[in-house]
Amino acid sequence: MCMLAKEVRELLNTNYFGYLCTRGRYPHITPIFFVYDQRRSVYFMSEYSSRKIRNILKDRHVSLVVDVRDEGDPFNNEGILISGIARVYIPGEVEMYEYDILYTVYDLFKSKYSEFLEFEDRGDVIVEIRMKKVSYWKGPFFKSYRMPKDF
Amino acid sequence: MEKWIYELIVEKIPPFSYFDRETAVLLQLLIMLFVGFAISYIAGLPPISITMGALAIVVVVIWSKMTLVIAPMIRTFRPSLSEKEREIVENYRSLLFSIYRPELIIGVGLYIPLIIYLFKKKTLFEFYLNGNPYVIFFALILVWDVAYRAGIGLWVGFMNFIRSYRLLKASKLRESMDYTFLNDLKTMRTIDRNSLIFGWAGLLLFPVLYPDIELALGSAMYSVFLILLSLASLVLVSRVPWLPPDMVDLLNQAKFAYVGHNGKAYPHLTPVVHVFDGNDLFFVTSRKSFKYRLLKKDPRITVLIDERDERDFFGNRVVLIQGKVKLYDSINVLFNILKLLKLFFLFRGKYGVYLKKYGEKKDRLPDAWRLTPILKRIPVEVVPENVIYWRGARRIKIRL
Repeated sequence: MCMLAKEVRELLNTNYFGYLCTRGRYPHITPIFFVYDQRRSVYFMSEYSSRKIRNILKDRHVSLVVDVRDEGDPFNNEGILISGIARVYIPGEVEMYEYDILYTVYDLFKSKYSEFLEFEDRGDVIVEIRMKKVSYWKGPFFKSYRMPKDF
Repeated sequence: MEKWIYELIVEKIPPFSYFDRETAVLLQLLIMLFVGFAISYIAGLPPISITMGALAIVVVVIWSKMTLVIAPMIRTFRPSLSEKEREIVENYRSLLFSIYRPELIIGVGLYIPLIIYLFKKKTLFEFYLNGNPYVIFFALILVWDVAYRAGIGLWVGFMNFIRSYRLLKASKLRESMDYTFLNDLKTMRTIDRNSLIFGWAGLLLFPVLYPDIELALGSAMYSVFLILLSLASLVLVSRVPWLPPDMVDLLNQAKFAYVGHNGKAYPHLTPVVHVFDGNDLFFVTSRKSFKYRLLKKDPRITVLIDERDERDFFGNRVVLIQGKVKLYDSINVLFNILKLLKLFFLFRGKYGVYLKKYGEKKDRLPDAWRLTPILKRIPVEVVPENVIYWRGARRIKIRL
């Protein structure tokens, strides 16, 4: 059962870009392509050697912003800030039952981005962000959801 | 690369060569004061001569110090990534340290007419030295010290101005990824500030030369000229952008930036509005925001500014700046009024539509969104320490 508000789900399902913030000596921000599993997690793919993966392997706390900008009216700016825990699925270290999840995520990526991107085998890893807290804003309106522990 | 004669003296001639540059300057001050007092005592000079002689020695020592500060800075410049600007800086450096020793020629050019004038008019010799020929001989050494260093000041000030003027002109003709390093531009500003101190210190000669009012006015004119020249150079070089035009365009055109902080329980990331004044990046935040509280505790942030192309992801451009923030939320507002005024107008120009909308829906604005500058909204400056630029899939590290 999905517990996210409709407007949050809409943002996650209709936007191609998200901005991921990981912790390091300085915070690191990077635009990412992502997919939402319609439940509790957002996934992205990245090269294993990238800065964001290195940061996540040291500190799994991450934030992700997905937003829609309106340059003509600040009251139409809309977005979400997801705070969550990241998990890097490293090939060879994944349990058998988790392969199903990864195949599903890969399919989700293909259906969302194949029109724009060619998927090559570059040794990318899949990263799951399990949502712990979601803040939503539209113009000056703001609300925050904390995920239940069993969510 | 050549060195100025004064640098060579400090490096090669004992006892100065036994010490580091700071101590050598201090030693020079002590030796000159000691010799000055000894001669004054032996010749029975009045207290006014001793006081004014000591003041002239202080000026010489300040100028010596400035010379030893400026010279190594000029040697640190790295080759710029703009060919034209690289030539300008190289030309500046080679002329300053030319084997023809222009600073020495200017020093001699000031010294010869000066001693002719002093011997012809005799006002200062008679006022301070009672016309004593032995003391006059020592005074001429001090006059040479003043003239030589005044020559260095003039040559450096003039070359600084030419460098800044030409750099600014060349920066307007840059190709998309041409730039001169931020830290080199900062060094140029520091050199200009030191030249300003050189000029201000020269004003101390005014009371020394006051008995000969023409000479006193001449020295004051020299100082004022050097101050104005250095100020003009400082203003010009401050307007040279440290980022390539491609990135400046992006920073100016993009309406949104993302500010990231390591946060408390989780990293914190929020979109903000920003302006770039050609050199510094600013955004504003509410005094009531979580971000403001975080920034007060830890000033390290990352700002990402990008241009999205929804149909062609490889056409995306992204600037990532990591650095520390400078918050304009306290007494520092008073010291930066002009900068903040400029900021206010930049925001008004870039986000005029937003401000209009805020005005129309004033009653719907929460307290944190109220636009009272300084009181409710804090201007934040980003001081960069690391800059990366992505043009499509190409990652370019911007050297600072």
